[in-house]
Amino acid sequence: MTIAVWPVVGRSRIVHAFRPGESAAAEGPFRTLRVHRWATSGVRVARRAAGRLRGQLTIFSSLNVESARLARHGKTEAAKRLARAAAALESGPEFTLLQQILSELPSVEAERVLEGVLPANAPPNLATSLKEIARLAEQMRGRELAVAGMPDVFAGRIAEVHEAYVVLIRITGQAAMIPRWMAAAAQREEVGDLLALVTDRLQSSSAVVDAVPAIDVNDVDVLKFSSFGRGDARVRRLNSADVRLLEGAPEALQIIVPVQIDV
Amino acid sequence: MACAPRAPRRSNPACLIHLRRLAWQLEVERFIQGELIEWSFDPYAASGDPRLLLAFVRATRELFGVGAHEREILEGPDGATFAATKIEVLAVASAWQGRRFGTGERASDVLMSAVMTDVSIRVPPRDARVFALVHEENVRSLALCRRHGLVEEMSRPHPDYRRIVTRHRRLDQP
Repeated sequence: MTIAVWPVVGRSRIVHAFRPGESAAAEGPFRTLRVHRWATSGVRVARRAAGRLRGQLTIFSSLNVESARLARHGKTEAAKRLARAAAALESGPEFTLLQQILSELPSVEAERVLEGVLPANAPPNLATSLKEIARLAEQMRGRELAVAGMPDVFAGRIAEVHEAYVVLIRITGQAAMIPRWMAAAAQREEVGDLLALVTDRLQSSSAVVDAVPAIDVNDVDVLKFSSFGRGDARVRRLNSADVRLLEGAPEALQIIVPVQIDV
Repeated sequence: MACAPRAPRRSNPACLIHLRRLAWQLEVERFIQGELIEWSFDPYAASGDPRLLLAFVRATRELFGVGAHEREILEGPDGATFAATKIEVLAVASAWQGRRFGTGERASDVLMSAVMTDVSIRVPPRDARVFALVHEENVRSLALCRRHGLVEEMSRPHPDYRRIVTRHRRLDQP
């Protein structure tokens, strides 16, 4: 099991990493990041609702969060390198596939994916695609941050859920207590959920702590599939090409051997 | 949908292929032996009109195959829905795989024809869209589907499984 932070984010997460405490919706900080090439422009996904285009959603590699953090620490060259890595990832085939998959989803579900949620009826290649992007991002992040200095990431599986906190267990066994509201904000507050706690030191006695959703890049359970039974919504889920096909007129059934059925 | 498995023969050079196929073939066996009856008679699924067909050789009363199908509603990304029939399972007994009756028909063709006949006579009528999920390595079932008109390929619900449906005349075709 390899637990990685969720591989895609929205712009607000990047702004928050650059200017924690300020409004994540502010235009200025993101413009600064872009002007200095400390962040990518992201990938645009068409948003659909009720069969119509409803604007666009922009998704970013989570590497942009790291580059924004580095920029805040004044490590501007490292920030640029990581943003270039993010741009390479976002222009690669894995991101292109993700873009296609998200464009097929209703816009609400596509936005939920950015928050770390796999829709219940998600096509199976969505999970595969996210895992592959997460795996690549981890490789790039490891290469760059080994030099530039990493934030402390405590990633694991939630083992206990209490009224005020959850207990997060690393694969290696160490445990941490996380306020439950933080886990909930990361869409992870059930036993078994994967969560990461990212601690970025500000000064000797203060830090920015973010709870973010995580994903197991080696997990194959998500991909388990049975063609039998009624439980798996993937059996019923169509994409746009399927819809175009089924909108045609079905031809009469072929019965090549006459058969008598006794009841 | 699949034919029931044959035991791998170690002396056979195709043994490894048999072993690789065993996983999805066993899944068929387990479903038939452990879940098919419940699937057929689940009161909560009655609206889908589930049908279980047992195919016997009339002369010997030998069970040579099992088929099942039900109504399914397929859902598009924008909320469009399509009524269809899902072939839940179609399995020919090991002893009858690849065999023909004295009259020349393949056992598998007779079984599939029985399913298609049953679909076509349901009241209220079933939609003529009939689809099946077939493991991509299950070449015999894929060929069987092709012979019976399941020739259009839809998206895969899983990388290993093909979803094939009966032929449709596209809207832009005359």
